[in-house]
Amino acid sequence: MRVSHAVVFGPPNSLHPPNVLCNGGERRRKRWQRSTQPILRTYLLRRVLSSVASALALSMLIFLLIRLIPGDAVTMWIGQEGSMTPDVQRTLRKMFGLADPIPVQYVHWVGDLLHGDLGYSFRSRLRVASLIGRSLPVTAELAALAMVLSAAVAIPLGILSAVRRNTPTDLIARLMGLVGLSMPSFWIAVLLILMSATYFKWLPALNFASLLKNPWENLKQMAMPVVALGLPLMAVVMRMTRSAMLEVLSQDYVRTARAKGVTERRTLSHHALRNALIPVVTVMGIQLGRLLGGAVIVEQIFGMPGVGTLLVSAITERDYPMVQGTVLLMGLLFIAVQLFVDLSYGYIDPRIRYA
Amino acid sequence: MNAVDGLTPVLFADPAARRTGPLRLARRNPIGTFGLLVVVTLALVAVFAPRLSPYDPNAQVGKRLSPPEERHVLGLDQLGRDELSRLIWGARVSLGTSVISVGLSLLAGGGLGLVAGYYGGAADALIMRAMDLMFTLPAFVLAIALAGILGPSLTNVILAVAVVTTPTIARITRGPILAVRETEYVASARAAGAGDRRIMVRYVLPNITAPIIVQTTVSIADAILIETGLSFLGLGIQPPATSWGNMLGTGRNFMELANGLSVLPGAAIMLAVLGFNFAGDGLRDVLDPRLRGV
Amino acid sequence: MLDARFSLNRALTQGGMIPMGDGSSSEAPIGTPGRGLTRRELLKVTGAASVAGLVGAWPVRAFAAPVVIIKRGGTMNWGEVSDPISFDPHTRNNASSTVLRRMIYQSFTRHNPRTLAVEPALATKWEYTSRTEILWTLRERVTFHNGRPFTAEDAKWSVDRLIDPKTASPFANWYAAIDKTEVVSRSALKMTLKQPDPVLPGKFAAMVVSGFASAGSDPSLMASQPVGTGPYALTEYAPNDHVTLVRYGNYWERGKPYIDTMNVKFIPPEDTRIAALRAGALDFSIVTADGAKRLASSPNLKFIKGVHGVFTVIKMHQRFAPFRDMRVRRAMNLSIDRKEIIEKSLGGSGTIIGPVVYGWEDYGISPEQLPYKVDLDQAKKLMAEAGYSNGFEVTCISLPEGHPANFYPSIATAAEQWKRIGITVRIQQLELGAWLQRNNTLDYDMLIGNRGFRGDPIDVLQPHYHRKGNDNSIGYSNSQVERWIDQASVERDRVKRRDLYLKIQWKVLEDVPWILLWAPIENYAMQKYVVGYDHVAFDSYKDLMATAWLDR
Repeated sequence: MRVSHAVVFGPPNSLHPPNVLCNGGERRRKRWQRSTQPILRTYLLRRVLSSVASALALSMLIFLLIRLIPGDAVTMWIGQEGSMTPDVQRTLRKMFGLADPIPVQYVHWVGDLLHGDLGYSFRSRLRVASLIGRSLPVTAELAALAMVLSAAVAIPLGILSAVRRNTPTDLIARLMGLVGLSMPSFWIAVLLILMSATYFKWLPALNFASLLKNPWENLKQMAMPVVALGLPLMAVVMRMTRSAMLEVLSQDYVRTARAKGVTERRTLSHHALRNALIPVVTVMGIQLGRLLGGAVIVEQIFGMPGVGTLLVSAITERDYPMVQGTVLLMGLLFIAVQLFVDLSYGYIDPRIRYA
Repeated sequence: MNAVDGLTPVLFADPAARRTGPLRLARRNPIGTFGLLVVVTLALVAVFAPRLSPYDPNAQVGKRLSPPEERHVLGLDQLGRDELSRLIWGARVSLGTSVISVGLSLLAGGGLGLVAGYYGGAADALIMRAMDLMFTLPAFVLAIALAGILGPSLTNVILAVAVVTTPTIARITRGPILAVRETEYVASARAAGAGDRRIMVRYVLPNITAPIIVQTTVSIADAILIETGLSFLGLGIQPPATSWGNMLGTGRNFMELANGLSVLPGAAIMLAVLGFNFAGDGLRDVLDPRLRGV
Repeated sequence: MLDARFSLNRALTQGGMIPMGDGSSSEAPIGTPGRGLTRRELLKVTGAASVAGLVGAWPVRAFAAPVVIIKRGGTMNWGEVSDPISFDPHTRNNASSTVLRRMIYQSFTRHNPRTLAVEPALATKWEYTSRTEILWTLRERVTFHNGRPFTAEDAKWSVDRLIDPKTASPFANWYAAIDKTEVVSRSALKMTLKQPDPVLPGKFAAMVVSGFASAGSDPSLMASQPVGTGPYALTEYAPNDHVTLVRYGNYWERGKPYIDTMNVKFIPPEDTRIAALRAGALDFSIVTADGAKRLASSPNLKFIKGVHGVFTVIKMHQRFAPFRDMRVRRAMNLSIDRKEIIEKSLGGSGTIIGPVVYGWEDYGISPEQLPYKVDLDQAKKLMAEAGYSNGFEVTCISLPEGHPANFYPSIATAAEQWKRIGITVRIQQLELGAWLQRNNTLDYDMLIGNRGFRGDPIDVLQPHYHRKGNDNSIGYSNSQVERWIDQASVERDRVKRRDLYLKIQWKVLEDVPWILLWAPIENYAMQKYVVGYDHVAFDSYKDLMATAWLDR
């Protein structure tokens, strides 16, 4: 729920006047691969290292924060009636490693982490990794579909809006964008449920269907959550596409291309769009955070077995290993996507060097 | 549109903009004007909530889930409280918390960004690393964690939202300052003996005012979404204060019996966020000449 | 197919099944397809059907003795609110897991799902050979889901694990009286007690942490791959999504259960469960009273209501001076309108309660007899006598509005009512963990919470109202009540015990140490073809699932 427009003022130093005569396509891609390989490797390495450092710092932060919440897993376990004796409580705290000082707990956790072990959930005593492994595909699919949906609708709409600037089409598209941006996904979700409850009696199958095993059922189950999550994102992407397109369309090289008699269609697709896409991709990368955050609520509303559901119940139950695992995962996921976005600049615009 | 283009002190760059009357401005920028009107209206509702609301928002004044009627135009909620009064007081809470938290993040983020951008070096590295760290978690997830740790209450939600909106403001402040610092006119001003303070006021502030004003409205919109989201999950504000998020979160359990309880608070949230987004959009058009007419 | 006079022969040829009444009494399968029925069995069957209360749900004419033809098989889609978290029979006490564990595991005893009387399960009988020694006779020819026979070794292993401090079972203190267990023979177990505990068998019936697993089970597997002796075996567990339970073919109550597969789906949001019930995707689910109202117009659904044994109370800590005065507590009790509180909190779907919820055998005081009334004049007089004619202010700790326990609406409504005698209650809503922390450290002046149904009423009365009770550290003490509690806890005669329980309750109602608000009446919505789950009593008695069948 952050930085919806920040990018407007801090654009990537990107919109270089590109080579109008460039043929694009395959040749461009090959040249990019050839020319950037070694630099790319160092850049990648540096980025990965700093990302891992960030993730570690983050894990330390979360490790501390979650332990500051009043009450621990044992408190939750005791319940209200004081029927658990102090001895039992001590045994449990020892079993969970909560009896150690926090730095010691942290070292244990990081040590296990380095061995690829996220530990066991306090609540269920199942492996954190296996619980996350079950729910990650749900959240990943939800976020990915929401992104695909929003890009598929918003980018053409944004281009249309930019090309037909200051026409009624543009105004309607802009208004829709702003309205969409202002609708909280949890409200959209509630409205969707309300409508389906009142008007349609349609309902997807109960057990969560895997995308691989039963794609049709899976997509039906995903439909409402994806719309709820994707609509606000759609608005952001549309707005960004529009302003980036306008920016590009006013550049000299586009005028040159037009003057040279390149068809409008070709001007748009080959010269304008490619350059306009950079800020759009940036925004979508940044929006992933918003998506993951929104997914937490949307999963709760639709009762989906995703990472967000895991996280919220783990916070409530003070299931520290579970909280640490899910937060670390969300952070890493977010970092990975940022990295991917950075790399995709180079693909979209080969002149960008990873210096 | 590289960074240096944006360095002219934008507020004063376009004298025409200052000469135009409000009406002309409104005609040229209907979206922004509409947004501003919504924001002002909601602000008035928030300020005069005690006078405007027909009932005490927490008083149980009738049968639960009563449909709208003459005395209660939006009906009663699950505890028999007047829905209209609760929505009116909700404006106070949701706008109030968002404005205060963004104010806090302006102070914190603006200050940090200023220091980082102006002094650079180790301070810059340290501050911006810390900000980056906060960016590694989705804002809402961070807000959930913070609100969970601090416990649900008005002040804690304000704090959580402020913390979450701070990094964006810091970034936005730092960028232009970094660039301004290197410009010739700052160098010559410094050579002429201008102190840090004078350089800040004369050259740096005008350059960052426009983006910050716009970002502030947008951040308030985001803050409203975060606050209501937290309250929706039950991690946010608690009565006697009434948050729209809370109302929506509990009201949705009474779908079909009283649809207003899930539709109205959401509509109120949308209206407020929309107002700030529209206003931000309009302000950007007015304040940032590069995007004029875009 | 709903016709009660449905041809018996046709039923048999189609694999129809005759029920065996309450089951536990008879071990021989009757009415097995292809075996035919004797006249005597048929009579027994019809009799059992009326005893079991099936008649109420059955459209029969009075003159036609109903022949209930039970159909086997099918899959029941059953919607639960939350994930069970763990299937370990000894270490978890959360309600969501207890419900499912009851289908998988069993113990020495169980509660009769209708009267809540303690009856035999894996033990056929038990005997106190002295005040501190119990001899359990175990049922033979019982097998675990993995085929291993159930013996005294398994019972010993399970009880030992349950009371082992290393297991850290949350309710180990219920079984604190057990000193050691000893295998006497394959089907006999001797239990030595440290001190007399005449109600120990009932504590095993509550089945919160008393399920029997096979001796030497791997604790790390029990959480997700439980193996018990119950009517259903778990075949699949997808956390936060669903559990698949399959009928155990060699279950010792021959013929039961009737439904082949239970697909238990975890759907926290009620909207989704309601939509699924409407669409026929769910066959059975618990709903709130408001949910039941939303579903009332659905022609294919029916509803069953039952009092739940978990009741909501307001605790008044006597560190807050006014609460030390019995007149204040009585005034507070006299100035709240429980009916309105139940209406606001539960949409009317609740019942007023005494210290023990009515309906638990004959232990509770019936709602008609409970001495609650609203008398503001008397309340104001009492307040004035106590020196609080101007009232006072107090903070009450609650869970947030919207939490399904419904504490907030109750305390908010009560607070409105208390304004009438000058008492201002500020409500502080805390998140679950923080609220539990305050509850457990007794750091509150006033707190709204709830208390559960136990193995025996003594497990409610002793902790709540005895000075030494672990749930009464807030200053209440009445030596008369304590004497009765001490007497009851060693009394071996059930009727005498019950009389003591009633005496204690009447005294407590006079003293008002806590304000007892309500117990919810739960609403179960199900498709009309779900038959046999016809009565719900107390603690989410899903044991009844073993008697349910699908008339499709």
